[in-house]
Amino acid sequence: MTLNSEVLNIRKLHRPKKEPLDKPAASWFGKDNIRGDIIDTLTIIFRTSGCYWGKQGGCTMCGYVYDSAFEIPTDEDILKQLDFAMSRADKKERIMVKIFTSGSFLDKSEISEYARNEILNRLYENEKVSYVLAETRPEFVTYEKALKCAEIMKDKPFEFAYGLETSNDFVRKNSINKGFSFEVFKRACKCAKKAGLYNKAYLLLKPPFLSEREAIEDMKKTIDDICEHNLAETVSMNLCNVQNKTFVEKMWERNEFRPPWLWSAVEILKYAKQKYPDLYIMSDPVGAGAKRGPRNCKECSFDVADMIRDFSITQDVKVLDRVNCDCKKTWEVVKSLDDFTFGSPIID
Amino acid sequence: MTSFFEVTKRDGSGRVGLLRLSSDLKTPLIIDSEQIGKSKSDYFISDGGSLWLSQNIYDSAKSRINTFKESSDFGKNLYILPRLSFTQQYPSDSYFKYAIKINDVYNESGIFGNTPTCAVIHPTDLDSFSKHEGADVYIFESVSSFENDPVRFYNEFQKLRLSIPFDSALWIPNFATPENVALLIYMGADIFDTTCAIVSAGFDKYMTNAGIYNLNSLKTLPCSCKECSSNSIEEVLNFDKEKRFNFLKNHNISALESELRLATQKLHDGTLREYVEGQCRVQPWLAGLLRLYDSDSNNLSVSPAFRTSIISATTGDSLNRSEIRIFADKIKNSYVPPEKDILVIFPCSAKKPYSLSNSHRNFIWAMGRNRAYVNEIIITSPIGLIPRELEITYPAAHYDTTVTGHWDNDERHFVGSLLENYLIKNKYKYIIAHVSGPYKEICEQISSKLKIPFEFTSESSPSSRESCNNLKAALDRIVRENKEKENKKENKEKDNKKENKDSKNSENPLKRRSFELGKVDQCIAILRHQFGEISNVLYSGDFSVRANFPKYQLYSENVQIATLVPKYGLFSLTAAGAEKILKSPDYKGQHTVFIDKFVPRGSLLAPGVIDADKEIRPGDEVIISGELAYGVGKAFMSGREMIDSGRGIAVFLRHIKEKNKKES
Repeated sequence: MTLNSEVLNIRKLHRPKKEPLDKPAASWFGKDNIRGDIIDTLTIIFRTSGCYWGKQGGCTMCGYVYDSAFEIPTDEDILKQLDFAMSRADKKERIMVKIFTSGSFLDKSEISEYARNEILNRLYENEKVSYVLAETRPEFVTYEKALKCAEIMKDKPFEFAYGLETSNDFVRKNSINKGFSFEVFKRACKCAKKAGLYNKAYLLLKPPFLSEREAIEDMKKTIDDICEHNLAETVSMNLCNVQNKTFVEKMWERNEFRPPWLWSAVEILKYAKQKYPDLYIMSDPVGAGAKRGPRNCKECSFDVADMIRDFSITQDVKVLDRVNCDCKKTWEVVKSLDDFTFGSPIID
Repeated sequence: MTSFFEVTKRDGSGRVGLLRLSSDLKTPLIIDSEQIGKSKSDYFISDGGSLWLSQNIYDSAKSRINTFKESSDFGKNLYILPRLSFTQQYPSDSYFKYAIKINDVYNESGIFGNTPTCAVIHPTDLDSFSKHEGADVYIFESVSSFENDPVRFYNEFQKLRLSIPFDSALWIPNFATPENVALLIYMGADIFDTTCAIVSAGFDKYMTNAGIYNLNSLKTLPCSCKECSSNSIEEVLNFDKEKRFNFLKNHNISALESELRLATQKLHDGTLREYVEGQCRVQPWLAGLLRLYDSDSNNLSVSPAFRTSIISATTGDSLNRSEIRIFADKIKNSYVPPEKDILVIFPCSAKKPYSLSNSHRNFIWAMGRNRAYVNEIIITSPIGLIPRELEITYPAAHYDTTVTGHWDNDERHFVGSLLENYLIKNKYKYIIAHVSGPYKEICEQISSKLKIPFEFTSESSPSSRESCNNLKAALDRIVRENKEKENKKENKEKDNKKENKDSKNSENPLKRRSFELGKVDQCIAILRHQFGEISNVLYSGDFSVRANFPKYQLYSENVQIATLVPKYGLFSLTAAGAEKILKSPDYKGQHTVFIDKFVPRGSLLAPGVIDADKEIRPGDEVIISGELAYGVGKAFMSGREMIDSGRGIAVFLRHIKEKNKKES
């Protein structure tokens, strides 16, 4: 069996739930630093027909596939989802809107051209909305599509976000099973930039099979590659957590995967910010401190997670020295020995 | 076949070996994990490293190997080949795609055989196994995820262990603790590392061979290693993290190291089995692992034919150890009792062989001349059932057990089922059970189950004068009654010369074997026990037993064919004995080690072995057969190992004859 068919087998055991088609899968408010502007952000997870890549197998850590709709939503449904989410912003004066579909905003089979343009139109016309971000796989980005988006958004800053995960094609293929190459990502970034849009790269700290040290090295190298080619203005690092019904979960259940240490994230953020002061680098440690999430020891996980969030907003590297803990030593020990377990990671 | 590792001592699957680096290292061995990745170090390991972050893994592997080949450590250090490590869940197709190509890189590099190498290997990797042929050490990939899961650990461990060459070493990474290392050694692992000990120190865990403690739950330091002697628990709890870590690291590594050394000593002594029977109790999953090991018949072929140490049977698992299983299986399957009509069942005695004990001397006195009519079996835990003919044969006289008078259900069942099986196979006119207590209860149970009447002759103590008189009286009565019947029959036949065919069988005289024939019976029983069916070529025809018990010498056509070695109750063959087996029409290579075209002297080395009977166990009497010579010797390793190994002594030779020449 191949990695993809293994992932597909897990997918086949589960079906999307029968949720209403005119409500988004989720939406919530957070805070973000948008190229220097700290602002409330409304994240909207659209419920669409789902990620084409995920439906035929897909990424080893991704459980968002199960957020897709049980049948194909109409354009009207999609727009209702937008209105529903936007109604939550009534009391806010100035917001940023982040659009996710658990797949690709630019994939016509998820969001039709009409719905895409209409969403962007409505967001452009909404005066509260200062910035817009939409996530897509890079293979859907063409210069024409980017230009069309830019025409609608006019002077309102708009960015594409991509789950690059890593600049290492071997890791992206054999550990993550992502299905596109760094070249495709580069090309997408260039198209967007040419059309006057911004780019944001999501990275993945500690995909399966990498040791803690390799995972850190992989992130540093990826950030170097992005900055060297000037591809994205913003980088957000996801700390690999264990999502339900994924290949990573299957590994985790058998002691073959441990989410990354929060100290590893701290090390990378410091490295990146010190080396590239103009880069906006951030991380939201989802599930920090939980068994399935990135974590240090029981005492400090929440504090260190908060520290990382504070840094993400302030972009002040000094923030990353705020919390210290004895377990930093433990992490150093793990980091130095995890390369020599030959397969399975060091589990605590 | 490897050039840099040699097994020097075996006990079952466990072994002691030498890793031949710039200086020799003894296994079992603990590797200092902190030294593995250090690029500039005087440690004996060089690491090719992980290939995960290489964009082109093959080019990268190639260039790393080439760099190592040019370094001064080449030929001296153990080189861990560059690798792409996966976990168990990684799908096999994707795995093989890389594993096979990386192997090609290894092979093309010409590194195997020229420097000590270490390859990471996956248990599901067996189809493409030849890919790693040539490595001296194998690392069990991703093994640490099997901790606490005896079934998965055992299955994968065994699959891997049996697929790598015998003369390569097995490294179980990120796994060894003071609790489990003895059992891992017993099961055949050779190399361990300090990863668990150090990581545990990082997590404030204090290791002992009977539990892993959170440091702050300790009331005292239950160890007297250097670290623990120079600090009190109160002081340690007040250490800062760095100091605490160093304290725990040094203690944990010391605890692991001393457990490994103890297990190694026990292995040399031949008593590692007894030790792990006790040690495995500290963790339920380890006890499970030992049971799985015992239930796997693959492990029988490496079990020694005899040990110089006494078997100490003190746990329920003792019943399952290989010596006992093998003996019981042979009684079940190949033992044929001398033809007699009376069976007497005796209890065991503390002194061995039994017939030298006070109780058995009394029994033998009670049987007197009637003994010629009697088959004797002794029932005992843990060996089960021992025919008198085999009472000196290993392990019948070579064990010690806990005697309280109480037998647990496992023991009762084990002995009962052997007795049941024996009585189904062998029919007697009379069965006397000269036993009391639990022995008697077992006999009663089998008697009623099989609906075969037993006569019980023992009072509360079988060796008492009273009991022995009962036994004597019973045997006298049986013999007398039969003689009377016989006389009557003879008279009848004289009277009316008609024969009644139906009554003839039951009216036959009691079968008896003279004292001299008793010696023959004992030798035949031992020969069958040792050599199986093919042994009949040794005792058929003109066969005689000379000299006194227990130093019997066997002659066939006035040529000596074997000598009994009293210590283990087993025969040593002469060249003439070997020749008889080689010429038997039933000969199909049994007990034979086939050698190349040469005349071996002193000891036969593994590379000279072309093929061998896979049933051969270490210590077995074996026949050597080659184009230029044949002879006999004692196996030093199992048959499978001889075939596999490129190093080490396979057989200690005793007699070698050049073909068509005189004995050398």
